[in-house]
Parts: sequence; structure tokens; C-alpha cells
Amino acid sequence: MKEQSAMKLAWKNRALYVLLAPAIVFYVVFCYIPMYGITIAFKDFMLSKGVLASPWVGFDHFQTLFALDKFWSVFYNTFYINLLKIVWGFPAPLILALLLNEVRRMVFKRTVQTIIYLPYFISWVTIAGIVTAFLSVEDGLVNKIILSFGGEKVNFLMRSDLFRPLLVVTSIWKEAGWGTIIYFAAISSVPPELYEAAKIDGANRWKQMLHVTLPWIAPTISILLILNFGSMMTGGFDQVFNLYNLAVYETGDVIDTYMYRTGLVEGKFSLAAAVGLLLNIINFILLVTVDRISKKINGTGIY
Amino acid sequence: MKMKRTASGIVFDGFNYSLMVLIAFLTLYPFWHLLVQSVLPYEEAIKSNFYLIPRKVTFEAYQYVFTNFQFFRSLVISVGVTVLGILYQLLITCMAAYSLTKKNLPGRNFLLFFIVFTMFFGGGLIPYYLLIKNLNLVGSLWVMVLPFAVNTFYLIIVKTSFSSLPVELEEAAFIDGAGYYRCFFRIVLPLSIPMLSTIGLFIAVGQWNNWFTPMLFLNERQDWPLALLLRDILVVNNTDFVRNGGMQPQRQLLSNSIKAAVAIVSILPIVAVYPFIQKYFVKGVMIGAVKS
Amino acid sequence: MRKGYMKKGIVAVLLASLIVILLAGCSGDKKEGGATGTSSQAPSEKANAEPVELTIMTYDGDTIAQDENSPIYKAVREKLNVKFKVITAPFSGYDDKVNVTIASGQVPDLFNYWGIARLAQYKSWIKEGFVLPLSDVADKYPNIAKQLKSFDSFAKMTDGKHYGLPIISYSQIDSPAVNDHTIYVRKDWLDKLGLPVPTTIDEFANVAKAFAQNDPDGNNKADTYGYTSDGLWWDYPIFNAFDTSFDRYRKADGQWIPEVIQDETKQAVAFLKSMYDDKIMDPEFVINNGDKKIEKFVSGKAGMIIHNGRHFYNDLYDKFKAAYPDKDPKSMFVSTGILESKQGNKRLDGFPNFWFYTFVSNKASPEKQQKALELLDFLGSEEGINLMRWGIEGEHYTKEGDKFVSTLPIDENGKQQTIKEIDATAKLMNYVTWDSDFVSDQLPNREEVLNNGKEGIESSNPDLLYGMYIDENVLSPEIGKEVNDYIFETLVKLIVSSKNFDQDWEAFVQMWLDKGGQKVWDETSKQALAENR
Repeated sequence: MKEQSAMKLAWKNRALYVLLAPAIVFYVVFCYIPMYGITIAFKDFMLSKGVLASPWVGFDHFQTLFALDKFWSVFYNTFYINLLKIVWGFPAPLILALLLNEVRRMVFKRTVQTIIYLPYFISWVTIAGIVTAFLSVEDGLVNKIILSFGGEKVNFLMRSDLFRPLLVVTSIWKEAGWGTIIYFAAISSVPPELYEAAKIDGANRWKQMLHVTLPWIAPTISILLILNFGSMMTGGFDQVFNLYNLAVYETGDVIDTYMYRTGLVEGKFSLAAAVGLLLNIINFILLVTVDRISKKINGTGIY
Repeated sequence: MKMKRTASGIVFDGFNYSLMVLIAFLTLYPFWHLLVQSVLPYEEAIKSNFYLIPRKVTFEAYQYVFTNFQFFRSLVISVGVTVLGILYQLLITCMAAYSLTKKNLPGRNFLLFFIVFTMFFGGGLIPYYLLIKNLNLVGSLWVMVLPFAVNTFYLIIVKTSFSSLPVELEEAAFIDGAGYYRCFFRIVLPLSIPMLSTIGLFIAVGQWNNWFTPMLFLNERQDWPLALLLRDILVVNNTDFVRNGGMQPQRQLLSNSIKAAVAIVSILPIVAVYPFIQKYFVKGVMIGAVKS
Repeated sequence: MRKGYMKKGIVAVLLASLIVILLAGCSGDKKEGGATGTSSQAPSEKANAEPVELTIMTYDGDTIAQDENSPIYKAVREKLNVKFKVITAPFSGYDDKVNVTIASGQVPDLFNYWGIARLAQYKSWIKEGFVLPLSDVADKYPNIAKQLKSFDSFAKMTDGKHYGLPIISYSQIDSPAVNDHTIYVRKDWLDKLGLPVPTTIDEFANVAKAFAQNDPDGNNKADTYGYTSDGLWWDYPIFNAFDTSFDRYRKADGQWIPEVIQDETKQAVAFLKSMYDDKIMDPEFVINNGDKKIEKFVSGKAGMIIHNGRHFYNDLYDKFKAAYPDKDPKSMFVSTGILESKQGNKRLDGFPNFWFYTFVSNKASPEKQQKALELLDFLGSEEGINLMRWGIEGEHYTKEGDKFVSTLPIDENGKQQTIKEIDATAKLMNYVTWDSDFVSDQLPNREEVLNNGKEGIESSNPDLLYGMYIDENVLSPEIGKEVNDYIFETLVKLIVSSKNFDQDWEAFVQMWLDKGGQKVWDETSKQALAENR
């Protein structure tokens, strides 16, 4: 029977709705009920009146934002730094997982796995302390090594041109190891028969990885890439805030650090809400775009 | 597994192992640095050198952390919140993810949009706080569990993972007369153990490290989970706020060691737990079921 | 099978954690009486009146009123018939928590926050009716009235009334501006090089240079700097020593001019630049945080730093003692007075004698408001101050004539226990005063502590335009904040990487004017003249 009314279909699948129910309740209660708060970005929010009764100001806050002298430069920094993090940082856990997967000695493999997860648990406050110590001009280990090779000391942390790479590198150090976990899970779900078949066809390890492993985990890779782009513009405050200093504002100052430092959002919920909304809209657009592209390339998407 | 050892294979292995050793070293060395810092007495700590083996050690920093206001109570709270959180979130997320893999479900696309939309658009802190208050969750430890039923990010990943299971498995079960519940609990879940363990681990870490929720919604220090307690120690030991007088100095000689000790203590849980759960990640998929 | 055990294990853990959480969740309600199991009514409490419960929030006050049998809390309850419910907020999130608590409709009965230091938010709170106008009720509470009087000028910023109590820093000082920041110098280095403690900016420059170039620690290595700081803000006394600043206005020929773009500031920046270029100043001054700055001073990387004075003397003393156990810290560091400029002026820009404000909720019941005010009045009274400083007579201290002598135990390092350590409820005092000038007779290094930063405390330079409010519609606050942000960033660039200083300075001045500085100047000037400052 090709034509089944939607109602009949729904009733037939009622078990699925039951399974879905708790999640839907959650979304309605904890996400959609407070959703009216989005309007804060368009209002002159007054605590005593509450969100609903505060007067509308339309796009005023956004105008204020765009009128800020430094807005576009910190916006650019936010965008560019996070793009760099995706370009360099996204492949890192994948490559690391693939390489580590080739290791045959289990003890070695497991040990390395545990070790590379650790940095994820250290807060940026602490990492900044370590980074400062290592890159210090006088006693930093890195400079000492440079000196012993006959080079000249570099004041790493104060160099504008080195700050973005620093952000990317420390980001990878902190998060790549943790990021391999999900790839390991995906890799471990490859059916062994596929490898057998490939070997019979004469494929070496490299070809096996290329033609068996990668295609199998391609959906996972795509999804993660899409989700990464979908959170590109938000987050990253902690890292920049703890690592930056006056000398690197030019390349390192991002929207959140700028707003925080200048006190522009002190007690101004509306302005903060406007910033958040703006960044999230961009995230959303990015997600949808990358999702479409991914669907075209290998059929995987969020839907 | 028999492997033909080709020449290029050996070279590659050599390179790979060396690379892994290098990476492990680069990852570990900063931790060693932290560990050393956490046991250095003040006169050594300020010399900011990179000892491989410290000359003198003191465990005062750890003493300070562990005897801090109800450390072990916070620990227990963290454990409770994490365990409950895993079970709660994992179950709800997986059930929903499974349902959403069924492309013929009426309203599926709408539901997906409905869900994904929340990844970007939310009401913000104040409406959320008001909601929590109206639900009477302010001041209750349940505030750390109940509002974390689903993480959309993870939901999508799990859904993708479920989708990549071979359709034949479920089709075979349907033919045998099984309903969705059976399929879900008896077939899909067991086959997804690696992914579930992974997501479970992510949830665990998220719950364990959550300090923002308790900071905002809990009003008694004795309700603090460990993450908040440790963070407070870190922040208190930063003397940067004394610009305009008013505050007395913390008189804390060991602030650097304490900060390092906090960092070390933060990684202990995962170091302790991970070896035990590692095996679930590499459990093979029972493909044998397809053959039948 | 393993699966069976796994299931059992999970169930066990689940049950266990449920129990724990429920226990934890429930016990939060009953705090009183739980600690020692004795009845919650102490015998001497008035049997007729139920103590009034105040919900309070304070910056460092999580541990206030934890145990109802602790001495200070008990004494306060008996005296005022109040009890406290503390909304805890960790150091790192205090601002957020206050904002969110108020936003959710619950203004704490008694709490502290920034006050006029964040004027816009303070004004909006007043407009929305959250905070009680203290001026209206102060006549009934002499101590509150007295304290409000000493900050009379602040009321002008909020339509002539005080809506909060400025928390006084130095209660004995009656000066429009205080500042205990001082310059610390390595005394042993001075002695080795035969130099006197610097008293003028030129001497400062010489000492810095000598420290950097003449191997003051005698290890034959050029590894010492003359001076270090954390960021640019702490260098302000150096600017002051050039008769200028980077954030104030001065009146010249009846006009108000911003000091940041004046020639004197150029000289100050040039001075810093020369120190940087000649490797006299630590090149990492921009990266250091407060801890690092002190660390570099103690460990001998830099010979001079600027930091808080007063009680911080003992902080440094302890650090030197720990770092150099065989040496007498007093021989290793000293603090200077205010540096004299080339013109012979002594200037140290000071801040008003307060930090943070205490507020009483305007939404609380009159009964609670009254209790809160009674508490504040008590805390400002001699009896209250003595209770918070010393404790209970006979238990924690004895009196020898007029002198208070603490009888609290002294540990093996010579450190005497403080009342705050016995019962954190003593921190209630911070609702009214930070008590920064309290130096107990038994405090180690008492003389040095009293002298540390003394000059600044007694005679620092007030900001004549402090708290001047320019209407938001005339000058939007964003402009000022943007311009200020540019200042530090650009000055640091000038110091660190400028190749053509004069040119770059001119560019800075022009940029300051273009990026909104001119507008800020105009409006500030207009307002200042209108207010006849």
C-alpha cells in the first residue's frame, strides 16, 4: 500500500514517538520555554520589568555594535582564528587516530592514548602558566634550546605575528588527543572482513587505510566537520583571555575578550545578548552551508 | 592477525612509533613540569628553572587542596552527579537518536530542525535562571542533572552512528516479529557499544567539569561539586585583583604550587578511570549476526 | 558472565549516588543545629522574638555564619536578634551571581557590589528601585550617617542621595584620596652598589640603570633588570613622577585638558621606552601578571617593582624569608616614598577612600530593612568594630588599660591566629570597612607595615573629576571605553616597537583625538566647567 495517511503511519510508529518523548519534553521545557529571551537583544532590558515588558529598541544594539571602532577588526580576528583552528586543528585528531591505529603493540598504543587525552582536562588558566614558563624570554625552555643552536632569543608571547599560530598550536595540544576518541570508536566499528577482502586484493596498509578505513568513517568525519563549523564563532574566550596581552591585541583580540575587557557589556544584558545572537546566526548559516556541501559530496548530513 | 612485513611497512612503523613517542613526550613534559611545580617549596619555585628532578619537595600544596573546605564531600557529589548524568543523558539521547534514524517517521524533518535550532538560539542566562527558579531547582543538586537531558551535538553523532549500522540487521529482526523497542534495546544498543562508551565518556567529563551551573544555582558551599571547588582555589590564588586596595593579601606563599596541584588533581579522575573503560572502545562489532 | 556483574555494579553505584544526592539535597535546608547537635536556641537568646533572617551576599563571605555556635555569630545574634542565610558566590563569579540573583527577582536583603565604580549600572538599579536610599534613613543610625557624610560628594552623582554605603578603606584617614601603592627596591642591591633609596625620578632612573648594568647580585652574569611590572597600568606612579598621568584631566588656564596627550606624558613614555631599549626594564612587563611580578622581584630578576603597600609588606617579608632562609628580609627590600618629579613635585594619583559598596534591598520587608541597618550601624560602632577585630573579651583578648591584647595562639612561625580564622563571621565587618589601617600591636614588622606606603595613604592626589557623570545621550559610554582601550595598546606599542618615536607619538595623539578622544574631551570639559569642579 503506497498511500498510508500520515496519521496511520504515525500510529504505526508510535513506539518511536514514545522513545522520542523524553527528549522532546526536555527541549520544550529547557530550550523553548526560555526562548523568549532572544528578544532581549532587541529590547532595552530592565531587570524590574522583566523581559516581556521591557521596551523594544529594534536593531539599536546591533547598530551600537557595528559602530564600535574596533568591532570589525575583532570580528575578523574571531572569524580568522577559529577558521585557522578548523583548518589545522580539525585534521589533527583524525591523522593522529589513523596513525595510532597502525600501532600494533597494544600496551604502547593504550599508553599513548591515555597520555594524549590528559591535556584536555587542564584549564586554560593553567595552560597559560605553562606556556608562559616555556616561552619566557629569559628562562623559557624553548629559548634556551634556540640559544644552544646559536639562534637569537625570541619574545614569543609579545609577537603579534606569532600569536595566532600560538593559539592554534596550544589548541591542538589541548584538544587533539581528546578528539581522537571518537575516531577510535568509529575506526573500531569497521568490519574486519573488509580488511580481509582488501588484503586479498593485494592492498598494503596504506591502501587499506585509504580504501577501507577512511570511507567507513567518512560519515563521522563529515558530521564532526559540520558540527565544528556550526560552533565556529562562539567559544574560545578562555584561551585567548588567558594567553593574550597588550602587545598582541591586533591579531589576537576576539569579540568576547574585547567586550569583556572594555567593560562594554558590564551590566548590559541587552548588548551581550545582541553579540551572542549575532555570532549564533553566523554559526547557523555556516552549519547549514557546510551541511549542504557535505550532502553533495558524500551524502552525509545532519539530516 | 598475520601481517606481511614489507620494507616500507617497517620504515613506516619506525617513523610512526618515533612520532608517537615524540608526541607522548611533548604531551607529558608539561605535566611533569606541573607535577614538579606542585611539590616545590617556595624558594625553589621562584627560580623558574626546569628541573627534571626537583631538589626539595613538599606536599603542603596537596595538603591545602585536600583539606580545603569539604574536599571529599565535593568529590562524592561530583561522582553522584556524573553517574546519574551519564545514565540519564545517555538513555534519553540514544532513544531519541534511534527514533530519528527512521526516515519514514512522520514529522521527522520538522523534529530535526526543531532540535538543531536549539544549538544556536537560546533565551540566554536570565530566562534560563528564571525557569530553573520556577522549577524549584535553585539550590538543589538536581539542577546539575535534570537540565542536561540531551546534548544536541552528541545526539547528532549518535544518530549518525546508528544510521551506519547495516539495515539488514533490523530488517531481519522485524521479519522475526520484533518491534522497535526490541530492536533498539537488543540489537542497536549492543552493537554500538564503542560509540556509546565514547559518548558516555564525553557526558561524564561534561558533568564532572561543570562548574558554571553549580556556581550560579547552588547557594551553599557544601553543595559544591569538585570542579567548582578546584576552580575557586585556582582563582583565589591569583592575586591580580588587588589593584585598588581593600582586600588583604592572601599571604599564600604556595600559590604557584597550589595552582599546579589543582591541575594535577583535576586529571587524576580520568587517569584512574580510563584504563578500565578503554576496553569498551575497542570491542569489535558482532558482524556475525548479519550472516544469519 | 561479566555482563551480570556489570549490571549489578551499575545498579549499586546508581543507588549509592542517589542516596548521596538526596541526602546532600536535603541537608542544605537544615544548617542550624546540625553541627554540634545541641538545641538551636542558646539559653541567653530572648525567648520572645524570633530572630530575623537576613539573606546576604558578600564578596568574600561564603564562610560567614556557618556554625551558629561560633562566638562572633553568636554574639551578633544576641545583640541584634538576627540570623543569616548566605548566598554563596565563589570569587570568580561574584558579579554574575549578583546580577542573576537580582534579575530573577530576588534582591538579597544585604549585599555588596561596585556602586559608583560602575555608575551606569548603579543608576539603573536606583531607577528600578532595587536599593534602599540610605540618605533617607541615616538620621536614625549615627554611624551610618557619619560614614555617608565622609563621602558626601558621591551623593551628587545620584541625585543628591546615597543609595548605598561606600565601604571605607582607611577609617582613620579623612582624605579625599588614598593610595598605598609604593615602590619596592632591593635593599641589598642598593647597599652593594652604594646607592641611596631613590627619592626622585632621576634617582629612580639611575638606580634602575645600575641594577641592570652593574651586576648587583654579584654573580658575574648580566641577568638582572632594574624594573618590572605587570602591564602598563602599574607604571602610573612613573607617569605621576613626570607630573602627568594617562587617565586624568588637569586644569590649565581655566581649561580642562586630558593629560594623556600632553608633552609630559610623551616624556614619561619615552623614559619607559629608553628603559626597555636599554634592557633596563624587563621585556616581559606586558606578559607578567601580579604573581609573576612579585616572583621576579623576590627571585632577583628585577630590582624594583610597584605594588600595594601596607600589609603587603608582610607578604613580601614572608616570601623573602622563604626564599632566602639565612638572610634577614629587612636587609633585602625596602619601600620608597613618593618620587619627586624633575619639577620638584610629589604626586601619586590616589583613589577615593573606599572600595565597593554595601546595599540594602529596597524590596525587603521593613523589618528586615531595619535589621540590616541596625547591623550596619553596629558594625560601624566601636563596639562592633572591636568585636570583629578582637573577638570576645576574656575569650580571645584581654585589655591592659586601653590596649587590646589578643590571646589567640601563635604558631611556630610567629604568626598569630586571627579572629577571622576562628570565626569567619568576623568578615561581616567588611560590609562597613576594610579596616586597612588597622595594625595590631602584635603584628610582626609593625613599624615597617605602618610606614609602607604611608605617604600615599596620607597625601595622594585626588581625581578632581571623579564620578562625573555625562548623560548617555550626550556622550555614549562606548566611546570612552573604546578610546581608553586604545591608549594602553598604543602606548605599549610605542614602548616596545616604535622606530621613530616622535612621529609615532604624534600619530598616537592624532589617533586618540580621531577615535573619539576629541569628543570625550569636549564633553568632559563642558561638564566639568558646568559643575564648577
